[in-house]
Amino acid sequence: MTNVASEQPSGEGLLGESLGEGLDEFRRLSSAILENLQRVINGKAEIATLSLVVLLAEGHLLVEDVPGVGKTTLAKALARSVGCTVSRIQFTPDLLPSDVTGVSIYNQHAREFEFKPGAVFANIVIADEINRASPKTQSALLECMEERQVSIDGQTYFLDAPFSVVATQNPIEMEGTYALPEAQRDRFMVRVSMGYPDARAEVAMLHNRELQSPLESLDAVVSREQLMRMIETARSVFVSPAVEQYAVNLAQATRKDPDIRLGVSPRATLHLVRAAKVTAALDGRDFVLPDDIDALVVPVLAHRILLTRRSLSDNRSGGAGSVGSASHRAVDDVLRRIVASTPVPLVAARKA
Amino acid sequence: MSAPTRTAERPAPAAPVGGSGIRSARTPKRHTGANGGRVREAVLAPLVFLLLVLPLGSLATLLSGDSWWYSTASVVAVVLAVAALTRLLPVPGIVPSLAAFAAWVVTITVLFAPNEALFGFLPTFDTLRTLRGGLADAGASIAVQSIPADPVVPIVALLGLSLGLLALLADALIFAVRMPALAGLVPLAILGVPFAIHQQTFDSVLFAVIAGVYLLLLWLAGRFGIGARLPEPRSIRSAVRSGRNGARALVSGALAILLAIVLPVITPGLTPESFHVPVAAQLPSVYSSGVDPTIQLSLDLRRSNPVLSLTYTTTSSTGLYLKLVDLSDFTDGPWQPEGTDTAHALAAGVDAPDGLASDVTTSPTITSFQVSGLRSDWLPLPYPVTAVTGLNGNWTVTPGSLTVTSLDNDSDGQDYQAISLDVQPTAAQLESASPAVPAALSSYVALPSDISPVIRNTAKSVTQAATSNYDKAVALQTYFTSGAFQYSVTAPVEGHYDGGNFAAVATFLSAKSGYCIHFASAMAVMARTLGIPSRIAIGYHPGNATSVQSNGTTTYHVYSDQLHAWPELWFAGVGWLSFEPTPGLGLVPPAYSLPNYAAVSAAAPLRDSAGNPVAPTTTKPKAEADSAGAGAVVDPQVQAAAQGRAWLIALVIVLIAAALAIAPAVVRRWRRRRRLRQMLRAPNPATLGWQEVADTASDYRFDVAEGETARTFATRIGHLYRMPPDPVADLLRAVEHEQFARHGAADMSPERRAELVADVRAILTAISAQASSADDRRAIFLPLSLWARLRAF
Repeated sequence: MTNVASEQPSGEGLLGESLGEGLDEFRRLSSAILENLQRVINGKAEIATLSLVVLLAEGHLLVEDVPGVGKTTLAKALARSVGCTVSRIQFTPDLLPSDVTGVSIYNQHAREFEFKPGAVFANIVIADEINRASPKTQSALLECMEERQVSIDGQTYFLDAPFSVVATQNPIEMEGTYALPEAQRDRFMVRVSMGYPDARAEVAMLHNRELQSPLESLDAVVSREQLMRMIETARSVFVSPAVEQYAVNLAQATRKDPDIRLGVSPRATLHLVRAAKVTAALDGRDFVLPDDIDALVVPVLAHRILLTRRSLSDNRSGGAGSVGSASHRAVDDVLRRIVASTPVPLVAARKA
Repeated sequence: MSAPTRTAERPAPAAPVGGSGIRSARTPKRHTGANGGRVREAVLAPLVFLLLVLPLGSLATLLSGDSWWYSTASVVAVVLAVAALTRLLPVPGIVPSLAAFAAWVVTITVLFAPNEALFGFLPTFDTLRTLRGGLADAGASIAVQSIPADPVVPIVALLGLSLGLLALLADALIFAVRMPALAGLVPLAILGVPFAIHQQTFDSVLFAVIAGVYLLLLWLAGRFGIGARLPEPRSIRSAVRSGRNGARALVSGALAILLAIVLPVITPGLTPESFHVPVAAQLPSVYSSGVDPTIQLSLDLRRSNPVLSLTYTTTSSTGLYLKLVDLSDFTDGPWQPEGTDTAHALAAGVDAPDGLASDVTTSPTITSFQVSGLRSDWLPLPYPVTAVTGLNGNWTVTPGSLTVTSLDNDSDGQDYQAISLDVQPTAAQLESASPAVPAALSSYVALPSDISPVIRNTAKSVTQAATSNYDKAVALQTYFTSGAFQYSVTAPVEGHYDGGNFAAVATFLSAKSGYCIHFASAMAVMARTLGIPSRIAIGYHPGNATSVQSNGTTTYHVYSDQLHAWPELWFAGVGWLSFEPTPGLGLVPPAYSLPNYAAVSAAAPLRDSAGNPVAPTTTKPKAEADSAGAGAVVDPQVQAAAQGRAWLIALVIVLIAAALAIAPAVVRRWRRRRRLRQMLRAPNPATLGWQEVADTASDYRFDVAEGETARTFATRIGHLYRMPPDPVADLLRAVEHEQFARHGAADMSPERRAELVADVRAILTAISAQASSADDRRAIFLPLSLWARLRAF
């Protein structure tokens, strides 16, 4: 699928040409970023790609798993690979909202209040163990995520683009955590679970880290301007009405499914299509396929869905895998079933 | 995502990925204990019983009484009950069938051969011998008896034996072999029996009830999960789950029964007779001295399926009237055949014909007979016969009537030659015959005194102008054949004047409608009132020549519906002469019985030269017209024509069925061609090609799921054996572009389109190449894609 764009040379004139060039650059840069990420997290190409998709789609990423599997490392590697400002907040129960957003301090020399920006004023914000903070602090961050602005003392400060939050959290069953409410989970574009590395990857990791962390040697491969251009390119990927309809159909299906207590929000549909555009661009296409949507349904929608109690207990199996993965698996199964039973535009069109 | 419930992890049932909660809850229920299944299977047993016993009722037209029904039904009931009860126990599948077999053996032994059994119920070799003898007896009594037969013990035993065996078969088919649909053959086999023996109007109600029971059985069998499950495409499985669509099952079943009943009625030319082939192997027509010949005659004439009674080859230039027996004793009751008191052995020679003077021209005729379908004590022979050779058994000949009969044998299977005389009296000889009746023949003019005056008066008025006995006889025959009377085999039955007696004759003379026996008896009785000695001959009319041999002989086939009765009148010096008063059969009366015989015989005294050229040209069309009008006596040629038409209709139906069968293939082929053609013009060539590929895959029973993207499908297709990867990738790229990319302004170049068509063709070829030839055939003739399209509406 590498030469698709060049197949239609006389297609869209200027737009097409610039898009073609954009796609070339996009592909070059994105593969460089992915390479960087791969060096840090051994294996897990899928998760690396997903985190890049979120960054390029201007969304926020929620990394969820047990401690020690490399959540923070992933977030850091992503931040380091792009030449943007990065800040990191370690969430603790006593963290205050002002620690996140910033605070106005009275400057005695200047005799006025001076705004000291908080950690959120960066292009990439790593919010570590977000579910350890109090709900108040959580919501302070989450407001910034959606609005991309901070309002303090009647003054509104805009956040620089690109702005992306990479939050990590431990599974909610663990002690000393405040679960993120549904409304706040909804603001994350994608939730990924790291999962344990396989045996070979784990051995490789031991070798890698004998002398120094690979994070140290990681260089930025993309400048901020390049990143903005990439985001722009991804935005301009074409979504045909059929694919849009398909995404909407999927969202509608989650709202009607008997196994699901709470379906996905319209924002989820928006996120789905945005992310699909990036995947298409990563694949070198200037248009979105239903396949892009299908591949993203589980990562983008799973954390927004609440199953009915009955289907949860039906699917709860004997504790294999990491804690909490049983309910995740149940959600994944339901979503896969919905994907499998929702007619794909191409096939549906031939029935008309 | 909160999951505070840390309940004890129980092994969850394997959750079907595509299954809703309802279905997954229901699935395990089917496997709850084999015991429930056994009980349900036992419930089917009464249905199977009905399926066997209901068609048994149709045999009621063949057998009189109802005792046979009870014994047969009890055999069936015992066999099925034993099978069903054994099946309730946890035993392997074959045990119930074996138990039922044992039950069948014991029941048959107890009911039909208890004397030879060990302890009264265990069969021995003697039992086998007895039963075998019984079966032979049954065969004989079936052959001899007419319908409805007396249910003698051997016949009942045969019924019990065969029905019990059929019950075993049905039970095994449903429960052991698990093919309930095949059990439908069993009632069909039973239903077929009465129609094979005795064609009658079909009992639609009985048929509908049996079909209903059968379909109910099928439905329940489907519900209970009896029956081998064949793998079927998931698309069908999801749409129609077997046995769980009550309303659908009811409607389609009712429709099927309705069609089965209505369709034959509205189809032109398809009657039970259409496919009937008269063969010698059919049951013979039965005549014995114990049976009233006139009644048997009317029965045989009304038989809808004439059987070939005999074949004869003769040197005569015309067909021969073959006489079986004479009726001469006209008494008040039913007229009985002539007594055989005066009969003497045939070996001693045949007596000279009565009253035949030496001056009358006669010519000898040699005829050889093969009797195939006539079981009679009398031998069919022409009159007057002079010698009969080649017979098996002891035969006697009765002087006067010259009929040949046997007391220890019958005519069936006889193969013999006879020499007879062709009597050719001149008009002058007939005219001059003396009206005086010799004393020896006085019984041939005897009549009871109380016969209806209508007969006497009619005879007088008809023969007013005639002077001699001969003229009177000719006038009588002319009276019947001049058009006032009609031939009908049914009118006498409806008017209740069937048979041979004086009341029937009187009624017939006013009703003016009847068949040969009425014409013959009326003319014979009227002749006696005029003082002419007369008797009624019963036998066969000549029939139609089927082939002419090179040595001048002609072969005739005589069918059971050519049975006939005609009067024989006696003239001094000439003897007994046959007359033909029956109109409407296309029979030519003998030349001497025609009013213009004097003139004709003066010109050409021999009947041969006068009658011969006329007969073949005039009789055939008349015969066809008449028998078609009468609708009773079926000329073999007409029958052959009807049969030909029936086969033609059958052929047309077969052709239509074949056309319907290949219609899906044609439509599918046409659709493919249209798509490939449109790919060169239409704005969406790749999509069309893709549809064709997807449809073909679905024809080959690939699952083409709605929720599957083109790319996933392409991967699946690409994994097929020998699938070239390039066309698939190329077509996929094109179709994705066409469907989901921005629409370009430029049209696709013809070369690119041709490439795409080539891609599609390559993929289709590869799909077909990896499939077996059986899959190929199924894909061509039963294209699933058409069905999916229909379902989408």
